[in-house]
Amino acid sequence: MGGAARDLARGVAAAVAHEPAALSIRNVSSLGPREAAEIGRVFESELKPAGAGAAEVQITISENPTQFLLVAEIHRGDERHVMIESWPRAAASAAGGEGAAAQVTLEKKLLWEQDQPILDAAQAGDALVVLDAEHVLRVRGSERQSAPIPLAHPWPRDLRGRLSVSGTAFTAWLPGTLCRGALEPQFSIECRESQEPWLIGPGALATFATPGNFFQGRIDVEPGGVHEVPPFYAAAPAGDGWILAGTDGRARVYTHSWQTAGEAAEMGSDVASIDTPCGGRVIATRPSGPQEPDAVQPFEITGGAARPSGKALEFSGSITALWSAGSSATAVVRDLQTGRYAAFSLAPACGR
Amino acid sequence: MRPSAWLPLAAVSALAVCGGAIRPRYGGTLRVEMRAAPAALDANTPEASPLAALVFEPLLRLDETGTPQPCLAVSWQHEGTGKRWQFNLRPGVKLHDGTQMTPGDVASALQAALPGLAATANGEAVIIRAERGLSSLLLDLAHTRLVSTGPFRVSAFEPGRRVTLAANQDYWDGRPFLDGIDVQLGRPLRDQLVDLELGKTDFAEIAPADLRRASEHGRAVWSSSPVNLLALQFTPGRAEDPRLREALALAIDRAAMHNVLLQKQGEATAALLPQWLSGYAFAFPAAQDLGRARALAGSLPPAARTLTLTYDPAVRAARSLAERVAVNARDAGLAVQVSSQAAQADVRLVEVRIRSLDAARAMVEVAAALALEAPPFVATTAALYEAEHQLLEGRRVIPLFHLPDLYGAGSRVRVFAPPAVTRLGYWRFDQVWLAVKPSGTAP
Repeated sequence: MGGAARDLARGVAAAVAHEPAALSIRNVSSLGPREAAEIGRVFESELKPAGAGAAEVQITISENPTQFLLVAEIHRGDERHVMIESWPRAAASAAGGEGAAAQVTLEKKLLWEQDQPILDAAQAGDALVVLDAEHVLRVRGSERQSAPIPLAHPWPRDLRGRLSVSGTAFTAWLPGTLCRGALEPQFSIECRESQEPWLIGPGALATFATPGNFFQGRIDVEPGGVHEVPPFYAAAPAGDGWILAGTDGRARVYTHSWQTAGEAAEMGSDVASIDTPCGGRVIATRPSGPQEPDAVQPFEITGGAARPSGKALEFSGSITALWSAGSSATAVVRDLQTGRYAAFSLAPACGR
Repeated sequence: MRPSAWLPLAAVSALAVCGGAIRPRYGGTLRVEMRAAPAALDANTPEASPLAALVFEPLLRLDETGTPQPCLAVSWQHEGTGKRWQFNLRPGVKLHDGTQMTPGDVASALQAALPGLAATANGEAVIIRAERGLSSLLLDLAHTRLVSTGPFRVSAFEPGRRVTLAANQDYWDGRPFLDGIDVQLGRPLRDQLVDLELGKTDFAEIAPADLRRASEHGRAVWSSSPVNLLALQFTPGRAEDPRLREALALAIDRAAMHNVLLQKQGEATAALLPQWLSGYAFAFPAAQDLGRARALAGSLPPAARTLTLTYDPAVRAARSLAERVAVNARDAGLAVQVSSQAAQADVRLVEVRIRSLDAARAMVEVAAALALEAPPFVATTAALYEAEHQLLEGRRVIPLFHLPDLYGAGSRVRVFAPPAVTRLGYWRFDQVWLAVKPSGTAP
């Protein structure tokens, strides 16, 4: 930027024969006032200020898809001359927000960040296991090992995946694919095409639609057996019942006998259960508006109704996955500005 | 010329963007209406372009900044003398007939679409020999759709009337959310707007004057960048006195037309390339200068102060714009007769579409469409400005406006990864999904 501004300022100074000139600067680009002021200083240092009758120099800071531009329009009497300098564009940054007050506080801890979409992540002792569309990654300190997931068919859009770690073994469910592996002593993985149901909660299995981004309308809960429900994106135990985020955009509360007890209007498509010191809670994404950062809201389910029971935890991007991990949950967030994915562990604290 | 008129529309368009916390739903058929009525659905027929882009795919694509990105080719490298390039093809891609796409398929399609190239299959790659620079070659390849591997396949086609597309279950980038798309062709704009309001269509083209009406009742308005240049083009051999052309150019009050007739959509301009693409369009003065226009007109012999102006009725707001030009011209002392039928008109109101995200290439294409001398293919923005300045110097073409494509989307239409309409106006229906409409809501 500085080089382009200096080059153009010197060119303009030469074009007005180093005579005084009336300078004005405007910014029609996405550059901020600080950068614009910096550019202004460069021109002010090269051009001598002038009053009426002198050449008029209008500097415009502009942009196109690939470059920022400095356009100098030099007017002297009826003469008009245009000079242009440019430099490649670079990237910028962003912000977040706040929620309402209540009893359960969620704290987030960054587990892992990468460019490729993260589907799920889980702690395994001192190691972290990360699932994405192409790999299962094991991270321990500075040591990283990854095992590839063979692609038997194109993944569906809005790809989802679930990771479960038990001791040194892990299971990864992806649409139409099941992978089992070991973290110790040798990091290994074996995948196969499979329509086996996914473990979606403690003792609860559901079959994933392939291709698709949702679970078919059957849930197998232990004890209790198989129940027919509308197709859903996510399910979580809530008290002695369940809550399901349906593909029709409605989150329904079910009793222990799988009767519909009510609907929760304030939930997005992802729900998960979380054990807190003040009892079990459901956490859910909120149905975000346009270009809004997402948030995770804790709810208490009583009498077939979902009531916010804590402050919403805000993120600076879209939540692309939310899975229960017992006394914590895992949320994956895609940053709105950078496009990078980050997996967070959400831990609850009770009361205040 | 800060594109302030552009901002309100951008805000309206944002309403179409779905929050990340609501997952997209698979299923449903998107109902679409369009004015064009293509008789064939070929890969590179301009009239069928928005539909063809859903069916056929190129070797690579340009992203929103004009940078080549992988599509059917995952990587490319140049070998030896710089006139031989290897494009490594994406493995496992299936054609719509269910067979595997082969390097031979791609080489044949390339050879047919770009006869100046020599394309041959080589293992899992395609080798291209061409007497041109790499950047020019990549642009050609990005603009040339080759084989039917896209997110939707054609399941029925009644030329000029209807197209039915079905989701490609095996699409290499993931099956689209929609089960299908039903497209009615040849629908007048007025009928499209009525159907959108009645909930008979999910997606309709709209005229600038109907923008507010279309965005009522939760319907979203989507738009491309301003990609349609409206300009006055003088007929070769007519209006040969440059004072006459300059007088007309300076007489036109673009700002008034932009505010009233075009409802502030797009941008008033005196440049060939839009501001968003070149970054310097404002440096071509577009303001009316009636004093100088009158002086120029007054210097002409009275018999030379007349012009006939014609227009293509298919151009948006063409008649009212042409009549307004005539009124402005009269204020400057020129007599302009407007007719949609004049075969021998001195000047015509035309619309030219920007089809490239590369400014230099777009300039070459626009110049060709307006019968201007071919500009050099330049590398720097400053040189591009100089080339455009030279093209416009003789005022054989008077640019007036850059207008976007405008679309209305029904209340059940959602977008997974915006935009649903690209800068150049292509439809990304592979990113669209349909929400379940709550009972008792407006269409």
